Amino acid sequence: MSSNKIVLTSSDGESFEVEEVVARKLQIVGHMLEDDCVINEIPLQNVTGDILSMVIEYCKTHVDEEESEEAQTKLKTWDEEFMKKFDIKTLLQIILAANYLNVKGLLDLVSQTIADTIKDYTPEQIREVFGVENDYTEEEEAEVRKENAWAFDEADTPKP
Amino acid sequence: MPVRLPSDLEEEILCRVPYRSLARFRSVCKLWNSLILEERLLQKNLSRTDRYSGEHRLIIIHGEYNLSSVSIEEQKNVVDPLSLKTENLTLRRIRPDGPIRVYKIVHCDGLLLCVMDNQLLVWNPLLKETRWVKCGSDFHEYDDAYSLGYLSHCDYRILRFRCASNSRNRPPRVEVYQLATKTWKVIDMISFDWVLKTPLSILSLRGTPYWIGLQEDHTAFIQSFDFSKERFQPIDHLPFRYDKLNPIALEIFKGDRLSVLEQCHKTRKICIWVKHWRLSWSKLMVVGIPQFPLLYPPLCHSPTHYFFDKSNRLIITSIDMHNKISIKAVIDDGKNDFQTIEAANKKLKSKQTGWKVAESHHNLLQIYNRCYNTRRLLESRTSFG
Repeated sequence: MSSNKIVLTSSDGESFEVEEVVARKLQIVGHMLEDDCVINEIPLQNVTGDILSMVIEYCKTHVDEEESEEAQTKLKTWDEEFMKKFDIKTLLQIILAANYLNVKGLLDLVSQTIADTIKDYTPEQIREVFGVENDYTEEEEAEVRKENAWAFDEADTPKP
Repeated sequence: MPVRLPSDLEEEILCRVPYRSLARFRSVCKLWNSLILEERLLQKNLSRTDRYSGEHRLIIIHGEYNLSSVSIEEQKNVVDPLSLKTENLTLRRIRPDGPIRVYKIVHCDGLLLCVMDNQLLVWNPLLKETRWVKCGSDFHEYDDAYSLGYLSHCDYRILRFRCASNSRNRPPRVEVYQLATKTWKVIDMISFDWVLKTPLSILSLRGTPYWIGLQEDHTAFIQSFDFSKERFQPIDHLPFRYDKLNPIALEIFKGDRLSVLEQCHKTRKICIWVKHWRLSWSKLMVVGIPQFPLLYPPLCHSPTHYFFDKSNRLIITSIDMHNKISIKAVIDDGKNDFQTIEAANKKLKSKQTGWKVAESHHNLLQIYNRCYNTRRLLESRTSFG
């Protein structure tokens, strides 16, 4: 791979100069580079600078994915530590960015992290975090809750 | 400002949360409810094993008295031969000294219920806690069905019943024992228009007993017992036409859903379905291995058992004409290509010879060993009295 530099610009005007191999981890960029041969600066409309910098950090770490077991374990540990830095709101921003920029590995990682984070949430917490409105009538909600009462039972929740 | 995700990303997340959380999230809003109930999402969710321990034990009664717990040792490579770890659980009387004969064992979340002459034992082998329960001696190995369940985690119940059609033409009966109050209650006014399917596959999921029943017209269905209403509660028909020559079994899928299996006695093809809520059954997998053994011979009284381990291998037990139990792991290579790995263990063969004598002394079952079993039992200790 050439050590060509590419400048990525976020929606709020922040610019990041990265190696072409790193930029290609964003499949959206990869496609642009294939369509058009010479691009030096790529504007990314749907992602802010703070989120883009995290995506770039992920791509830099994952730039050469070695097959060896040792390297894989090391990467996995890094992934876990990396994800620990973010709260649920930031994680939702990252999943949007990973989807828009089309970074498959990050999309999987952040989806799993969100799933692990929200698994013990109550429906009320879910509504708040995901900005979902409760459109059930009181009776309808009571019925769905009744059918799934076991899932609300505190005593049944596994505790380490 | 909360972030609103497009629904394909919500789906990407939801297919990764445990089934229990999905059940709770159904009450978030109508859109989430319909998203969760979609076959596509449930299928994706089924194939995930990220947070599933997959640890099971098989309990085997061999000879007349010997009770063993068998587990599969962890392996580095999923294609290595299965290595079994056996633990002796034989119950012994102190005076006069000697082993106790156990006829049947059922379980509920890692708690065992052992059926013996005139008495029952509720047993946590992990904590070595035992509670003895006296019961009438009108016991019959095949006619009576037993199950252990609960209403709340401090209120364990035992169900035992005999259908109207039984081998000794005795009147039907249904009894429930409450462990907290140590009392048996006879449940009246129950009419039986169904019989137990043999071999009996009975299990307890979230405190409710489930098994396969046969109606008078020979259709098979999932039957359950509601401890709060003290009534039988039919759940659903099976996802296939019942054929008495085909081995079938009922199991718990990954700790929280009902699953059924059917093997075609001609092609030996095995089909496994899973049931979510009140929805219809989803077909989980089809294993087509022509030389696969029949899971149990005709007239056998021991059902087959199966579960999925951490590596998503299907672990399945079978019993042959000579009462030999085998345990196999089936690996799905994708594209209908299967590989089976057999567990080698000579000890699994019954010491008994002669089919008639030995058949009732095999009883395999699995225990889904979850960490919180410890907690639940400690807390319920006081209520056990």
